[in-house]
Amino acid sequence: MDISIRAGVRAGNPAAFGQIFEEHGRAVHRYAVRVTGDWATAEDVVSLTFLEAWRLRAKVEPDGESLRPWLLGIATNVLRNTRRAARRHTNAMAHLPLPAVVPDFADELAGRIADAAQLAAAKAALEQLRPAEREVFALCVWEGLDHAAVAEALGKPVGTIRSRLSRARKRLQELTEKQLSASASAQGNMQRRPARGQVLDDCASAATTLKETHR
Amino acid sequence: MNATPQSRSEQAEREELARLLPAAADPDLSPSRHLLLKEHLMNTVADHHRTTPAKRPRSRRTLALRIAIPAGLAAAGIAIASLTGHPLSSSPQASGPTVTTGTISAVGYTLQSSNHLVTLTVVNAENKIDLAGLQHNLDRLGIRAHVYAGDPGCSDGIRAVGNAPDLEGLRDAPAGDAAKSGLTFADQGQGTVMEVVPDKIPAGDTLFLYFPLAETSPVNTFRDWVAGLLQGTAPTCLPAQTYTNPFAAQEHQH
Repeated sequence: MDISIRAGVRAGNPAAFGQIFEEHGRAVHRYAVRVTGDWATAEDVVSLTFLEAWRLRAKVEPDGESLRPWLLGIATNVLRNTRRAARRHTNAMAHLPLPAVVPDFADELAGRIADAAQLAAAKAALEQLRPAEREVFALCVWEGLDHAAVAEALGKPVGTIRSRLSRARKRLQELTEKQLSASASAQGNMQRRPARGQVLDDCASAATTLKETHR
Repeated sequence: MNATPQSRSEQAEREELARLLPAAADPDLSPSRHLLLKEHLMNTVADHHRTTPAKRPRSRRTLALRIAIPAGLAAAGIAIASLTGHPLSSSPQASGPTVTTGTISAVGYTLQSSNHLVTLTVVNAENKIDLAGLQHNLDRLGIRAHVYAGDPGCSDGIRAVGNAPDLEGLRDAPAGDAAKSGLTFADQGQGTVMEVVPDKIPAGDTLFLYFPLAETSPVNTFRDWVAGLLQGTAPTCLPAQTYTNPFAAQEHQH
């Protein structure tokens, strides 16, 4: 099935592009929100990613599995330099619908406020890593791509992905140790680990999840 | 994914790394924004299709392709029809290669596309119609269309008028060329049939299908729906209506 989609995308078939947007648009958006922490920017990134996909359609390999790694790789490039990507598609971006500043429904707004705190905490922690390690971490850990798919997304050898992940782990463990000692001396051992998906108090308390994990 | 030792070790590594950072939340793109962004992409792609061929000089080679492609599409249409059990009439003069040929049957509706004509039949029976699926199927057929389920929370300044699904407050729409695009609507007993010629939809216009009861009374979705053309930027939502059974009082009496 993905082979025919790949053929359709390579041929510039509008229906194929409609289908890959249906299948992967939300994943690209989720990735962009997690990395930027900003819903409006993330919508621009989604549009630019698919406009870039349209521009680069001839580069899609004829054979392969899901096109998600390819799209997330394009999204990564767009995130690295959103302005450059926007310049390439000035005309199309001029017709982009205005971003929804306020969500349509109250539930969505409440969910977004909760997500914002959680995203800010995750983003602040991620920024402790080098940019190259951040990208690999986000694609592998948050988006669930395996090493080979991350390698495909970033156009790097699998060995490079493994070493970047390894460096990311080492760096995060070092940060954990530092926070453990700082936190223990300042606050004692009273912090509790917030459950996954719950609203976090702030970046600092979210970062204390590092502490509880290693007991 | 197969649970190979390698994939298991990668999974374990992912989990370990995930524990080193706060969870990243699960932000979702709302259906209305998803639709808008998709429409923006599809319009850009359609613009490219409209402008690119005009730049190419015509040659014997392109003439040969113009003949060969419709024949290929007609053959594909026959193949799909035989698979789904729905006969399709093939047109040897077909053009408009962006519209796929075929028949799609789903709960509550049938969508049929020849190279020139798209026919949507909504069956007159209580069904919960999957409108997201209908949107997806229209996209698959390469038709620039927007399917709206009446949204009870819609506050886009658009109001439904009376009991019929007429609308007031649309910024630029409805467009005036519905007849020129071959858009017709007819109740044929078993169902309501809409026909449209996608190639004739004016540039910048979008076909819209509006089902005002879809959210408030899903099984009655078939009872009230309209189609037309929208000019300019399509609204993010259209309002819902409530279904009142006109025979309810009589049923209580018996």
